[in-house]
Amino acid sequence: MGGSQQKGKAAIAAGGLVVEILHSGDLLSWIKAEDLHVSVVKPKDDQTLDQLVSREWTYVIDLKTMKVVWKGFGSYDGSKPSSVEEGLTQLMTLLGK
Amino acid sequence: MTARTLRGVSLTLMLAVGLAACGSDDSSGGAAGGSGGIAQTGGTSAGGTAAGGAATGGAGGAIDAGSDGPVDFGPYPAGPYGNAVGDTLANLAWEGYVNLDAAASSDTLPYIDYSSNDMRKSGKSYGLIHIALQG
Repeated sequence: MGGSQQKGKAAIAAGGLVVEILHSGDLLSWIKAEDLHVSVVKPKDDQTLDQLVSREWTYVIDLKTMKVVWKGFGSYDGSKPSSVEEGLTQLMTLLGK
Repeated sequence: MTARTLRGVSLTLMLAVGLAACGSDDSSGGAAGGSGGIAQTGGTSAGGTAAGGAATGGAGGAIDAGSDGPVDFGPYPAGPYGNAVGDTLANLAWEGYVNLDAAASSDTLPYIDYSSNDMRKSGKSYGLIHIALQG
């Protein structure tokens, strides 16, 4: 999440939820390395990746209806900004910030 | 009625009056206050003790504070599910560190089960999900 850390905290402070799903790797070492203050989870089964495609995808969800209201993809090689940056901007807009 | 029976009845009535008093002390009303009111109708003894009233009053207040009950979010939205804009997200199961207020680093929080249904039941309006790769 890197530089999005502050935006993630701001989105939570604004009343949103931010969930990072780790595609692969160790949750604790990632949290400590990035000093993450958002929810950090890993899938309990294959359904998450079946539904959410792959890493680098970001989804903004209307939690009243559970409908996807925005989705975006960054890049696998880091050549484009992470989609979480734009997703957090979308989330803040929906939260009226 | 024997003296022992009378003494027992008297103690019961004193307790009832004490409960009634504590119910009326608690302006938040609710279930415990209501019970006190019922007990009061049977109370003919002059002496609910202050100590009894105070002790049970505290408990009644605590119960009444939750009398609104949990919000009923209903069942998870039905499918079909998908991941396109406008689609309904499936109920996905996760586990890890859930950070709802960003106050502390997530590694200091308990490791728990979590799901998209838990996000729905948070009472928040919008949430973001990002699939990440450590690195």
